[in-house]
Amino acid sequence: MSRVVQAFCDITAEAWWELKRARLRTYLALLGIVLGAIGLTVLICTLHLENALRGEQDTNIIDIRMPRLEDYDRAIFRRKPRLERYELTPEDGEAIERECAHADHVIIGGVLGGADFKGKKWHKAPLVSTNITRTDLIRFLPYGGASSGELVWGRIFRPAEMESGARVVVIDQNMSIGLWPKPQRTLGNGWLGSRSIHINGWRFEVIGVLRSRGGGSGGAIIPYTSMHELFWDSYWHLTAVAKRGYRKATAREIDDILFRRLGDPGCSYVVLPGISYEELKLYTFFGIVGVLTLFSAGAGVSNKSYIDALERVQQFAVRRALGATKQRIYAVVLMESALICAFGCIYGQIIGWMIFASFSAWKWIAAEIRTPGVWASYAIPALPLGAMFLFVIAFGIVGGLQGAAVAAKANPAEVLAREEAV
Amino acid sequence: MTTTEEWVTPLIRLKDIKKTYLMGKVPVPALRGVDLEIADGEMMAIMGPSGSGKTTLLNIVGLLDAPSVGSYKLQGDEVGKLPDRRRSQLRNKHFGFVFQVYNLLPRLTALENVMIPLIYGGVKKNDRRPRAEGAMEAVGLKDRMRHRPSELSGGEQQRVAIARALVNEPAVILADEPTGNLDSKSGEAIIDLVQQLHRDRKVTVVMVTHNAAIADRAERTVELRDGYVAGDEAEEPTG
Repeated sequence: MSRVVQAFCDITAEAWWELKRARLRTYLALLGIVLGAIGLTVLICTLHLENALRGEQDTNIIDIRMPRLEDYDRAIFRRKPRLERYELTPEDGEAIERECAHADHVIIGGVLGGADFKGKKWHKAPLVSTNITRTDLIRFLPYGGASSGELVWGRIFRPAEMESGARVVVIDQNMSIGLWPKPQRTLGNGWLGSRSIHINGWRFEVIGVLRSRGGGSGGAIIPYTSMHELFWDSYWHLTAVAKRGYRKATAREIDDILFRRLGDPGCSYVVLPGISYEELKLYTFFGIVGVLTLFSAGAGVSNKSYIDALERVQQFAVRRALGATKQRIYAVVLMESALICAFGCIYGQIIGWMIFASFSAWKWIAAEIRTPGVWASYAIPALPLGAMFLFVIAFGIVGGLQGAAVAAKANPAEVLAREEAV
Repeated sequence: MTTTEEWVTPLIRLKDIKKTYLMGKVPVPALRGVDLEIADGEMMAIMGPSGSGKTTLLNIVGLLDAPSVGSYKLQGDEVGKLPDRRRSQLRNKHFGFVFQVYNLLPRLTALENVMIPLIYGGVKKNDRRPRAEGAMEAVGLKDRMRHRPSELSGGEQQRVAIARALVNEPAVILADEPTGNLDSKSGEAIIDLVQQLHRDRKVTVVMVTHNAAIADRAERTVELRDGYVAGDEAEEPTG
């Protein structure tokens, strides 16, 4: 095994010796791969984000605190209901409730736990939240992509419980299963009757269970008044659901209200746009250009490898005379092509991701950065980019085949024969 | 009853070696039946006019080419018809080549050039550099190790080529007109070096040359003519 590893390292080193004193055509081939990789990377990242925004792969967006992007996909792509979220205190939310005419309803609430940042490491904890509406109806919005809002057991809060700040809680199935894996054994009357949980030391009675949509560490909803009373320092947010056709008007109204209250609309106003169809077309266009560039660059690598092999045929013959097998020569030339593609791909992926991230920061994150306590970044789609890396290397290897065949055919006897002719 | 001479297996034994090339469809014989034995530790010169088959013979001896007909035994083992991979291994292990035009790899430094045979020989990475440095020191170029071939004189390049030929400690050094591209002073120095290495390391040297003065430095001179061995003289070397 160690001999195989050593042979691989030697082949890589031999190829590297040649590449580090590269000629112009090598740099041009590298440049082509870089440009192609940039385009493809931007496309991959964009499609990945778009998928994430559609809620199909929300795990691909990481490190997002509030507002949660997965709630926006409905507003952006399905166009109902139109949700916009703002970073606010409960008082600001109440003011908006009173003054905003075009909002169908607004929801203010707090979030405790959930994705959080501690000791430079993200972790997920059960999410405890509360929601209240202007109409005093609790709307169990999906949160964390894990809950459907549909009760599978029990009930929601009663108005009296809402007003009094009762210690009652509605949990979701994930949390329920996490806490009581086999409820049928322990429950007598009803599913989770007389069960209780502790939230930050406070005891809450479980009164209902929401159906879970997927994975996650689970969540719980408590009355707004309880949240305000017990966990006033939790993360508060507001969600505005505009009446149909009044999305922008609602946003403007809220902006005006917040401007009056906070005096700085830039600090209060967060509207996360989605990727529009036109933008997606543009990204796709650049991606296709990237793919075509990559193919052209692949042809360039192939051409470079072939011309190089023709020019260096005597060198290969000398190597053969010194003990290199045909297979070794073949492998070295392929490795040269693969290395060009690997470096080109790495550079391209880094630059491409930076371009994408910069654009995202400008369009998606900049507004959030202005809002205290809100921060977001996008994950590097490692799997697709890894697959792309392997694909590009394979591409380089295929491109190098012709040159490698020429190089491996170098006849060492010809070297001496030529010399005699000199 | 066998004599001692019959017991000693020559390092290289060629028997009725023939080599024919095809020029288009026309067969062109280069060697027409060469019988030759080369003893271990011998310094031999091969002379002959152009087209006499010197280089072809050297190629066959160095396993760069295979004979069309005949038997080639290296240390008693038949090697004339071995597959390419095995021939490459034997070439790396037993032969060091010194070419007329040096044939150093231009993108590599002198030291890297010398390390190449060690790489192909599967020598461990940690051992390569000291061995290559030792070979460079042996040819008097320790201070030129990091120079590229283009930064070296012809004589220095040929010294690097000799270091490369020596580094694997081969049984045989095959030199094809090693002084052909050098001025007389540098050529003399190269031959001195080869002769010194031959004496000090007991390495077998087979050298193709047109130069009778250089051939005189060898212990034995084989003359080729029209693909045959026309003469084979062992003599006390000069120098």
